[in-house]
Amino acid sequence: MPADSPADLDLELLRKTAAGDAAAFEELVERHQGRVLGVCERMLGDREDARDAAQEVFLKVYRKAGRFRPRARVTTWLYRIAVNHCLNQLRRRKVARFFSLGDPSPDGVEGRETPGVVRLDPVDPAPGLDVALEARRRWAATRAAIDGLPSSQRAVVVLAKFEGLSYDEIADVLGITTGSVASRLFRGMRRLEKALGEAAPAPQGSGGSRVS
Amino acid sequence: MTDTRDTDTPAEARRDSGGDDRALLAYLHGELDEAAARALGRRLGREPALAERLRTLEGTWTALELPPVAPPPLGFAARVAARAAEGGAAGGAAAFRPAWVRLAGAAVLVTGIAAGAGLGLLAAPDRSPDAATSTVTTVDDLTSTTVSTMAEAYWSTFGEELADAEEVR
Repeated sequence: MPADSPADLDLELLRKTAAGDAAAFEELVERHQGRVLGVCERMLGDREDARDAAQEVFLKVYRKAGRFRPRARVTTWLYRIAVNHCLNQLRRRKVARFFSLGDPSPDGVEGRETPGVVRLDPVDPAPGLDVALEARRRWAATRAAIDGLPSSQRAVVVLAKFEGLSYDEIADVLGITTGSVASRLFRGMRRLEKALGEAAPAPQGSGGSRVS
Repeated sequence: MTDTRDTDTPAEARRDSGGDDRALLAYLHGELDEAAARALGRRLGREPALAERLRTLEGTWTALELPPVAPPPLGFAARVAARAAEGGAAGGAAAFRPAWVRLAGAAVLVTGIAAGAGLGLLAAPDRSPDAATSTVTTVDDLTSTTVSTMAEAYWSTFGEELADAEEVR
């Protein structure tokens, strides 16, 4: 019987994956690769790490497909695996940074950029350069502010702001209460306000403005 | 320096549990129930400071911008599917191995590395002045490399196991 909704189709694809249907798994990856890559990139702040992480996430999905319980949505489950994987990666970075004495890279990853410094594609030197530079500045400030958050708050901010999830959906993904989501988001916002305030360029004269 | 503690102090927690910011943020995100949103809306109409605070929070939330996520690399799904197929059947034997077996394996691995590091420290029989440099190098290597390896081993085993247990809920 054909699947009625995207959620039904996901469930069907996951069932087939669990039964060893490689084509179904590939279709499942096709359907969700953007979402998983997005959350990994925003959690980790590095495009290459995000691609590696997304691959690992889908391999976990493949291995665990038979253990999925349909009381949750497949997308929620995918988010949960992706966020947990990214949180693990962040912990590893932290431990590696702690133990790697004399490592010139603060991120503990050789050849990778410093947290807070966003690697961007070259800017097109066409009209609108100022706009592009301003966008880069905002992106770098946001990246640095998010990287400065404790990982639990980072996950909530990323899911709310960039994935557009509701508090209830975030609570499902992280396995916490909606009240905890609100608390983490609120505490995260205080830190973000402070970080963005510090990162904002100094006002020029009385007409200067804060990040807005 | 940015504070990256994962939990707040009790004082911070007490301060953060109250106040209007939490309600304002939920209001901003459309997460307040209808009655609470109406009540807050009335307060916003008569309390300019509260309205200003809402505008500030909204400004911060809007200012959070990251570059667009890059499109998935060409052939990403096919490559992942191929890797999955190489790894064996979906939900295969490894996935169903009891957690305690995998945790025990991880413990043996970490203990082994720790024991190896200990033996390395003890095995420095050459006490001549010339040997001092090499002994120091050994200790340095142990602190920076072996310990780092141990930490990595820990997170790639215990950390993953804990996360996996969460994911299957």
